[in-house]
Amino acid sequence: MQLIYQIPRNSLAWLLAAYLAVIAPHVMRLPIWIVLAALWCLLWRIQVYRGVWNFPRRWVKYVLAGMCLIGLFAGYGRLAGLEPMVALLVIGFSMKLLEMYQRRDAVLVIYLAYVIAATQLLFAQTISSALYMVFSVVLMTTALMSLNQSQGLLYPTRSLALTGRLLLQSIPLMLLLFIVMPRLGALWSVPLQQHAAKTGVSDSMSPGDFSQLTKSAELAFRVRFTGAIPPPSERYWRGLVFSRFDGRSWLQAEPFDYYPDGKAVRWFGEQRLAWEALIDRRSKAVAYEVILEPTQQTWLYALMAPEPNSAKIGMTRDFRIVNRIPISNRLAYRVSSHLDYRAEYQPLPNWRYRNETQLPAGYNPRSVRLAKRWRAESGTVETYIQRVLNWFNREFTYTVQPPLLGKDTADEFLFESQRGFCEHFASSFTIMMRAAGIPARIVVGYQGGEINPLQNYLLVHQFDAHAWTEVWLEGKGWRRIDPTAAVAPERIQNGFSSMLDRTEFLSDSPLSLVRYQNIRWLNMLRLQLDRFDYAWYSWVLGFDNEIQADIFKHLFGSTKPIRIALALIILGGLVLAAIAISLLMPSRSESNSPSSKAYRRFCRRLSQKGLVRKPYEPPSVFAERVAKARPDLASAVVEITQLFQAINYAGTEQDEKRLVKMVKLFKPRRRV
Amino acid sequence: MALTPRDTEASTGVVSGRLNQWIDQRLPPQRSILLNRTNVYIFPSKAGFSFLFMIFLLWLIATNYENNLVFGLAFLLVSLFVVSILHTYSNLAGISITAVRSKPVFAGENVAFELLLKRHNRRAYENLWLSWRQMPPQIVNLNDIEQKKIKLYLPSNQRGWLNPGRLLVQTYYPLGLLRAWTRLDLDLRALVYPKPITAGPIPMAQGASGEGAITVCRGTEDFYGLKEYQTGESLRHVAWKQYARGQGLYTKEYTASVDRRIWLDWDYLAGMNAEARLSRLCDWVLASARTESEYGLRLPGQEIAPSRGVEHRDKLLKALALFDLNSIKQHSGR
Repeated sequence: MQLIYQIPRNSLAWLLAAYLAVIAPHVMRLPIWIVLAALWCLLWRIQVYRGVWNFPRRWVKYVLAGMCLIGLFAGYGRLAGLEPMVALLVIGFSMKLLEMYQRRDAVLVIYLAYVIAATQLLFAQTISSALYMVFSVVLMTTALMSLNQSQGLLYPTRSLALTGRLLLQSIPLMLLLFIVMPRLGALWSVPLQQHAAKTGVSDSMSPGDFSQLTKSAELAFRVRFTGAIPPPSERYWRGLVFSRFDGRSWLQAEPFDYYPDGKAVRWFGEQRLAWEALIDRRSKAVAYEVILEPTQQTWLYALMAPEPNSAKIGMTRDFRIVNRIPISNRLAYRVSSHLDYRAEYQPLPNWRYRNETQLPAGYNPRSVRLAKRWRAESGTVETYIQRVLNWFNREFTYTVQPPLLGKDTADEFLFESQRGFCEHFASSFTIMMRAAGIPARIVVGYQGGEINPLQNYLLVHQFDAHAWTEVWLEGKGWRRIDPTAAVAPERIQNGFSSMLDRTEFLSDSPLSLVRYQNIRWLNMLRLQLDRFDYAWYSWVLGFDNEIQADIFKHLFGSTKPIRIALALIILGGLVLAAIAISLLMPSRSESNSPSSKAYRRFCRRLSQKGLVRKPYEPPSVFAERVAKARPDLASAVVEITQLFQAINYAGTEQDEKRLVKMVKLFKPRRRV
Repeated sequence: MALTPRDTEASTGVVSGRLNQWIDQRLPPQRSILLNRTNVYIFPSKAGFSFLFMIFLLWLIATNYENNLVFGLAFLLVSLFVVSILHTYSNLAGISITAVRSKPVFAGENVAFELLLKRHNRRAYENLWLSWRQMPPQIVNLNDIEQKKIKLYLPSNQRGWLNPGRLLVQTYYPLGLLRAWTRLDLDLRALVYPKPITAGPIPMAQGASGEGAITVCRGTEDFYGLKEYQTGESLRHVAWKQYARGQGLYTKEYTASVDRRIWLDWDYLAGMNAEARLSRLCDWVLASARTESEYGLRLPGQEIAPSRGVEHRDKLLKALALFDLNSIKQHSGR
């Protein structure tokens, strides 16, 4: 049985509280057996403290560690990846709890807690997770503090108050570092979150996909325009382009579909590729910044015709914007779009024409026949398109609860149900075009968005998800045609507010404030909350080198490292000086009793004669020194000092008067 | 807090050894010292270095995930570290430490050095560790009182002056990340008497008895006078005549005159080495002091005339403690 260092009760309590606090946010992400194991370790540690159980033996720990490793491999398949790494950390953390023999073990547990608390921020970066972080930091730091306090002074509230003071004093310096310290950018690629649900539009489209999205009131992204916000009819946020159709689903073109043009993506900062000459940008650009919620997908959203303005994003051959890695955290990127454009307006080469008019054989025979007949009857492509749109407008109904469709989706939709959602219109319209030999493709993304009048930015929600069509016209290139607009123009003009009365709408978000936007104050509350979140993002989460450079230019006139270093040193020095002054300034504790006053006067008289009492010198030591230096004064000095000290312990009023009198009579002469 | 030897280890090591030498040169001996920036040193502790390493890990996570909140956490902890430098320093600065006294002990006992700690402001000082050399530290708080007297013990194993060396005053408060310390020479020393070893009865001085004066002590032989009766005294000597006259209750006092001048002589203990002789002389001094006799001491090169009282005893013990045979031999050799 080894000698056990018993961590003070209060320290252990704070430590275990911190332990629970940092593990709690991970509970939903961790396999249940790890959570149970962690709680078991906690219970074990408490029992060890109470003296009921012993620390586990060494072989028990080895067996437990081995079992946990096997469990991790079995559960995740590998250890690379964010979740397995967090799981590993939590296991190590919990096992260390059972190995806390010494003070330094406890310190190590607290340090591990800081790291685990930090990993929580890799999964969620909302205001609430930041506040929770602050809460955990207070607990962990209090635990650390209580390990360094004297047992006798160890009261929970006292430790907490002292920690609070320390943390508050640390905040100014932290803000300074946050603003000034350069961000280097990722040094190496790190494992990302694996099991997060992908949100938003997916990389294929089959009937019914989009009506699922309309049930969600979650935010897709926010957009801040440098200039005026374009009208709703221009706000088509392109995310994906589907050029392949397999009879049921629409899929993206594979990169090799574009092989004659070489690389299909041009990344920011790279040289322009040949195919970029296909776009004719005719109007001035609209510049904006999109703040995208995590989607776990790589594609981004932008208006046509886009030009990426941020590092690490690129433009594809079908004029979309993409990111290199899946978006697991909010991402801000800048784009400028030329709303008046001609894309691929030059005559299409054969391989392009084949790709964009491809239809699987044997599907939708009725639609194909109708398309061919109408195309033959129409003189121009434009009149044909208009005839199809007119038909949609006359005969079709827009609904968020479309009936299910069988094998020939377009046939069933066009000739039987005639009730559908944007994806049905887009899909069948594109099939009608392709069947008539007109290159056409489906674009999915979001349409419209809600303007937050409080700060003039655009909110785009999941229910704004939309699918439309691009048709290639000779001399004009790809033109956007939205068949849904022909059926339900109010959907395009007014966005979701026109659909609030439909029961299916937002059925996945029963508590969302978006549902209650008819109630004015609730709506204002919702917009206000979103504004906070938006500010949180733009000032905290989105703070990057560009904003940093702006601030430096604004404050110091340049971004030279030497100036920044100077700013850091001077401002940091000022902050620390302020704290030092508040800490170290001697707060005068001299009492104002007559005896103290008399004694001070006595000291003044002596100092005039060159005998200065040092501030830390106890009166008796001082008296001894004076007596040695001036034997002629010895008796008086000793008497006064003894009386003064006696008064300090238990003095009467008469003693005080006597002292005052004695000091009055004490007139040392200059030594001859 | 339980202190393991590991906790005090920080004061050893090659680097800190050099540092300590340098500090010792800088800080001259003083009876009373105010701790301030001229004599307080501060450096990260082991826990502090690992804290910095942990922050570095957080910074790596933040950089690679480009996560501003983790950056924020890392910077908060950096600031906490920096701010705690000030707090750790201020937990020593502003205290004065004064050497009060040390009482002599016999070799083998612990010497208690009394120190006075006084704060010169209203800050609460917490968890100060005071120690001599490698002794386990004593923990002192000055949170709600202005000053405190403490006793720091040091084992003695040799007679003579015991110099406790530098007083190590250190603190890890508030977060244990930094260690502020100072090494003070308080100009303290303690007198260590020889360890008494029982030497049997004291041989009566042969040559010395002729010079013996008469010691007056209470005896039963000759009537000497009357003394007021005190309860508990034997009724045999009550002066009943005076009592019968109504003068009150008195006791008759008698004297016995004995030559009780004792000489404790180095030469009685021939055949032993110096330390053994001193230890036995020490025992005799203590035994003699318990009697009413006058006793003197003869050592090579010095002689202390017989007398009585605590001061006399201490004088003899001091002579024994500081007796230096070598210097005597050198003198006589010349």
